Amino acid sequence: MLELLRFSFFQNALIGSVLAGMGLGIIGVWVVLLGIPFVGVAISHAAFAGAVVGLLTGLNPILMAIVFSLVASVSIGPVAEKSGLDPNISIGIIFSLVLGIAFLGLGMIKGPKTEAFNLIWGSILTLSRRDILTTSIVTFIILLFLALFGKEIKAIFYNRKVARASGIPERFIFFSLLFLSGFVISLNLNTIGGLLIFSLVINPPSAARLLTHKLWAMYLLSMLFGIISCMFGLILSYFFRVPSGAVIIIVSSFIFIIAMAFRGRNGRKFF
Amino acid sequence: MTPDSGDLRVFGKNPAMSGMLHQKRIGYIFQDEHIEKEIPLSVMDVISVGRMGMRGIFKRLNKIDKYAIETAMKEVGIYTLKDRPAGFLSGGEQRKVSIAREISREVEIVLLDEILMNLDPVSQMEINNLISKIYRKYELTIIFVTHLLHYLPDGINRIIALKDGKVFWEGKPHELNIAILTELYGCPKEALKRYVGTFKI
Repeated sequence: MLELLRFSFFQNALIGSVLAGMGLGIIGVWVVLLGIPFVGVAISHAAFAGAVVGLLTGLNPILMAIVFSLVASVSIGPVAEKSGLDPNISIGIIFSLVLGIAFLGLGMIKGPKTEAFNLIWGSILTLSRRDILTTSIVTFIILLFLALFGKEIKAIFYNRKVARASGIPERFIFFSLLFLSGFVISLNLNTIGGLLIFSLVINPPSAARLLTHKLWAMYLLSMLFGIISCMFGLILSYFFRVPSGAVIIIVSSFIFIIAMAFRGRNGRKFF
Repeated sequence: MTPDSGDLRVFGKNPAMSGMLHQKRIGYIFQDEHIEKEIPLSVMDVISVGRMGMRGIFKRLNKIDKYAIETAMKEVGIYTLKDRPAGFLSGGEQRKVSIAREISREVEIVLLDEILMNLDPVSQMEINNLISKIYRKYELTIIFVTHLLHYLPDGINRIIALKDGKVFWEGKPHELNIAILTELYGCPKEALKRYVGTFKI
C-alpha cells in the first residue's frame, strides 16, 4: 500500500481528504451550532445549478458553480431578515429555486451531461494540483477567520440577539460564516460531490457534539472525524472500485452511530 | 433603534446618532434567553459574551475582564458553576447567568424584559431579591417590564403602566390601586383581586 504514495494522483487524493475533512469539519460546527445545517444542501445544489448554467452558456462550469453557490450563501441571511422568517425557511426557498434552475438547464443541455453530473458525485481520486491549491487557500482562509473572530463566533453560538445587544458585530459575523460555508462547500464539490457533501457537513460535528461540552474540542473532533471519513472513502474506493463519495458518507454516519453508543447515560459526555 | 413617531433620547442624545457609545452603557436581558441543552459552552463562556462586545474585535479578554466576570458571578451566587456546561442550568440559574453578564459589563441602565417568565415561584422570588440587591449596591437604573403584579421587587421608585402603546398611568408603588388596574386591564375587579391576592394595595 505504501507504494501508492508515490503516485501523484494518490498524494493529491490524500491531501484533498485532509483539506476536505478540516474545512467541512469547521463549517459543520458553525452551521450545526447556528441551527442551519441544511445550508449545505442549498449551497451544494446551487453549485450544481451553476455548473449546468456554465455548460449551457459555454462558460467554465466550475467557476459558475462557485459563483452560484456564493450568491446562494450570501442571499440566505438577507432573505431571512427581509421576510422576517427563520433562516431555515429562506434556505428551503433558495434550495428549491436553484434546483429548479438546475433541472431546467439539464433538460436544455444537448449531448452528454457527465461534466455536470461529476459535480454531483465527485471523485476524490481525480483531484488535480490546482484543485488542491484552491482548497488549501479556502481552508487557510477559514482557519484565519476562526483565529481572528473566534470570540465573536462563540458569542453568536450562545445567542445572536444577546451578542448584538452586547456590542458584537453580530450581522457581520453571521453573514461571513454563511459566505465562508458556501465557499468551502463549493470548492470541495470535486472531492465529495454535491449530493453527498451535506452529510460531511452535518455528521462529524454532530458526532463531536455528543462527546464533548467544550467548543475547541468540538472543532478538533469534528475535523478529525471528517478527515477519517475522507481517508476511509479514499482507500476503500481505490481498492474496491466503489464511488468515493458514497463510502465517505457511510463512514461518517458510522462514526456518528459509534459516538452515540459511547455517550454516557443522562447526556454525560467525556469532557 | 428608530421610533415609530416622536423623538427618542437616551442620555440626552439621539441613540441613532451616537450608536455604539450608548450600547456600552445599556444592558438588556431578553424575555427568552433559553440556553440550548447541547451547547458546547461553559457558564463562564456565556457570561463572557457581555465583556466581549466591550473589548471589541481582534482583542482577547484580559485580566480586568476576567476579574469583572468573576466578581459578577460571585455577586449573583453562581461562581461555583463557572466551569459547568451552560446547557444544564435550571431556569433560575440561567436568569442569574444573564444578570451576571450585564453586571460584568458595568452598564448604567438595565432593561429587564419579563425575566420572571417560565420560572417557578421560589425562583421568581429569588430573582426579585437579587434585582433589589443589585439595585441598591450598584445604583443602576433598572427598567423592569412585567405582567406579574404580585411579584414586584422591593425598592421600586416609579411605576409606569402602558396601554395600547401609550402611558396610561404613572406613579409611586403605594399609589397603585385595584381601580387603576381594573381600568388598565379592562377586566372585572373580583378576578383581578383574586389574581393579585397578596399584593399590598
